[in-house]
Amino acid sequence: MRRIVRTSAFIRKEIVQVARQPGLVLSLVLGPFAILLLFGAGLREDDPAVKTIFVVPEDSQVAREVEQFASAQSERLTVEAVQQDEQSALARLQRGDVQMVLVFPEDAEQTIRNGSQAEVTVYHNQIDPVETQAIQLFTRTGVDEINQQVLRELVRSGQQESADVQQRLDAARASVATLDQRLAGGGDAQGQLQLAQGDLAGLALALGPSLAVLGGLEQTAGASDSAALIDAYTALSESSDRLSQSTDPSAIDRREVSQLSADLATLDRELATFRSLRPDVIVSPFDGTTRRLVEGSVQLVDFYAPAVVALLVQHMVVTFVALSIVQERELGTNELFRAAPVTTAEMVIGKYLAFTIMGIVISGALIAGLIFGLGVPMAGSWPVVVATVGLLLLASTGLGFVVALAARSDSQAVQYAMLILLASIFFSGFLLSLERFRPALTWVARTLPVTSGVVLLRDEMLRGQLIEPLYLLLLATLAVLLFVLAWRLYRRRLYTG
Amino acid sequence: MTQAAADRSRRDAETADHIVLTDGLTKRFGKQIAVDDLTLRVREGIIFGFIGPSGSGKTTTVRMLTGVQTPTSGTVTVLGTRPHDFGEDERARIGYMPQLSVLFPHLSIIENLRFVASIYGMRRSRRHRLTEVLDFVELTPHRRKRLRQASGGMQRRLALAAALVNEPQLLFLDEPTAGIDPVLRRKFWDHFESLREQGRTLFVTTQYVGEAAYCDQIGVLREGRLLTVDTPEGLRRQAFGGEVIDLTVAERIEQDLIVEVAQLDYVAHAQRTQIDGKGMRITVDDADPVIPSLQRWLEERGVTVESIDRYLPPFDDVFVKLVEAEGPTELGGISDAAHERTPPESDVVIPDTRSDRDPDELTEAGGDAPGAQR
Repeated sequence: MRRIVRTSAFIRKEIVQVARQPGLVLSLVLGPFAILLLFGAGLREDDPAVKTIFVVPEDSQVAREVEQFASAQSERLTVEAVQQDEQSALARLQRGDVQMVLVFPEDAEQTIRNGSQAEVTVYHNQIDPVETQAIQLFTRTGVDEINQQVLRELVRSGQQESADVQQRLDAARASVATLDQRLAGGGDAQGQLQLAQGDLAGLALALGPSLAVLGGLEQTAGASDSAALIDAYTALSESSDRLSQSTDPSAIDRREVSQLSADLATLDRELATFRSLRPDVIVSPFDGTTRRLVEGSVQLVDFYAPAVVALLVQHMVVTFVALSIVQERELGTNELFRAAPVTTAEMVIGKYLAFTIMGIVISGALIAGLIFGLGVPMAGSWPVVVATVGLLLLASTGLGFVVALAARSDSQAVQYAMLILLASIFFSGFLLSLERFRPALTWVARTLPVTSGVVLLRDEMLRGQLIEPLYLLLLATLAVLLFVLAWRLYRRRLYTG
Repeated sequence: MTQAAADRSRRDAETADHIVLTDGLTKRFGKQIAVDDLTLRVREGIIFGFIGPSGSGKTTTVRMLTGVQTPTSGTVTVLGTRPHDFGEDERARIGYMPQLSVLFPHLSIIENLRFVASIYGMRRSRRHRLTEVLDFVELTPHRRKRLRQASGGMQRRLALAAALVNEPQLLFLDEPTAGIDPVLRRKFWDHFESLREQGRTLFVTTQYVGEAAYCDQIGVLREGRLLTVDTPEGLRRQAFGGEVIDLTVAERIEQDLIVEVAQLDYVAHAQRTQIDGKGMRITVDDADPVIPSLQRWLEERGVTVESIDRYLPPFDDVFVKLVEAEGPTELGGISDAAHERTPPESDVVIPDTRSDRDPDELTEAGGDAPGAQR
């Protein structure tokens, strides 16, 4: 009974002490919360527009393509000008009027005709590595888009030319059919053979350039419909070559003529298919859409809200505990404790309970405010959230003990608590995901209770399930280890001054 | 009976008679000796005054007696147990008032007191006891006041109440009257006397030498060493070599008369005391029977005695003489001029005799073994 009385003395004392310092609660909890809230609310959901100038050769095909490309762009890219003067564009970039200048080569068409890639140079003036990376990505996407636009034009052109090819194909099919009849004994096979050879040569002549383009398309864009057409033509060519080499109709194997008819029919079908498809489907047969397994939308504020709770809970408890212990040491209250019949375990447990109770009340208020005030989703189960917050509070209390026992004064304790806050913001996954760090550093990051707290609260509140439940075990382990460390350090510090 | 058995038997007998016993108690902080070979006996039911200048080792001694610090060497027994081995029961029988206010500024006076009562495990009779001690230190009207808003005097009274809340048998009060006004200081001593009347033992440290008069027994400490332990009267006798008589006559006293007085059998020392030459201070073994004899002797020689009375030298003088008798301090000792400038007794503080770090401020981080851990 006396143990309970002694332990409860610390619970009551800590709670009353904190309640008597509303300024401290405001500065530790509501202050950072308001700042983070402002940060979240102030962030734009969309990316800022990149003002761009395109420098293109005058009256070139590329210029027309770029004009067309520029007119179709989203708000992400604002085309300020399409011009020929590179120097003035770069001067505007230097002044900060625009963020990007894309310079197309003078002889782009000739370079492509010569079988080389025409290189587009992108100038920017960013020093922010993230923005630089975004521009590089954006450039790659933009150039791909222009390439596809060029390819679409080629396909469209190929489809238009295929009308002429169709006439020649029809003629060739008719000639080959007639030849087959004559070979069966129906007339002048020799004359018909020459006629068919002529039609097939005409067909090859008409189809050749288009197939060359389609061959390139198949190689660069992987257009499957072009490939089918080319395969059909290749088979036809082989049959046709054998027929072309024949001069004596009696030496012709009719099965080869039948094969030739079949190949022409195949080519006819593939050509029809090729004509019927939209150029953009041929150039980009695949489109991409994203779907999240978790239902409902997760806004930027929603994503950061659980992490803010975890961060504030840890910071608040670490600071409260550290200040409490340092204050007792500075006041000399430890001397009174050492003379009184109170034990280290009673003191430590009393403080743990006090700060856990306070933490549950404050974090409960924060979470309720986020869910019912800001509309942050709560997809998971409350018991898991409560367990996470509870373990986070216990581990943070232990961390507070360690901070207090390392600090020599209350100002030093506050400095250490701020360092932990800073480390938590950068390494806990609050700003950047843990996967972005080197593996060794992620393990260091995981020694911070808030790291587990951020992962668990985000998963449970936003996904509705724990993707990595081991973090719960890690948090529990941290809480136990820090409790043992806190107890041992506190006892040693208490009895050695 | 062997020597060891005899020693044990003697020690047991002493333990039964004395609530605090130390033998050769020594505390070092690194190379510095805070308390040096302290041997002390404190009987139960008295006020034991522990007087010495700042840095003389008073607080370190109290910390060793309460188990807050561990001695470097020597033995100490309090309530029959080594403080290092104090259990819950022994600690519950001890009250401790540290030198400085160690309670919580954001809590009210009653909340602080409730906290201290709780860490002593008090629950059932707590409310009644809190009321009692608050009344005792006259803080009841201020019970709701936050400690940070309380005056220095109130804070000291709260500290005293906190030391009393568990109804201790033995109270260690470390400079309880430091920094408080003379009226409150007087009240504190009234409280202490009242506590002694209740049968409690008080171990009180102080720098105010005048407070020695309130104690039953006094230990004088200087530079970590115990100079003497005696009653207030005994200390006066030690300092002046006996009791002192102050004499004032109508005419100027001639040098021959002073020599004659000094040569009387019952006179230990005589000297002129007043500028006009009409006063003499005479030290004798026992003043009461000597005064009538001396008066007669003077009148037989035609000396008109205007007043002759026993003089109680202020404890300022007593301590200065005791310290001087021990030899010069590191600051060069206390001069006669300094003696003459001594302020009124109740405000006199024994000068700090150390030029370097105050051992009372030192902690065991200085390299000693840690204390008992609970």
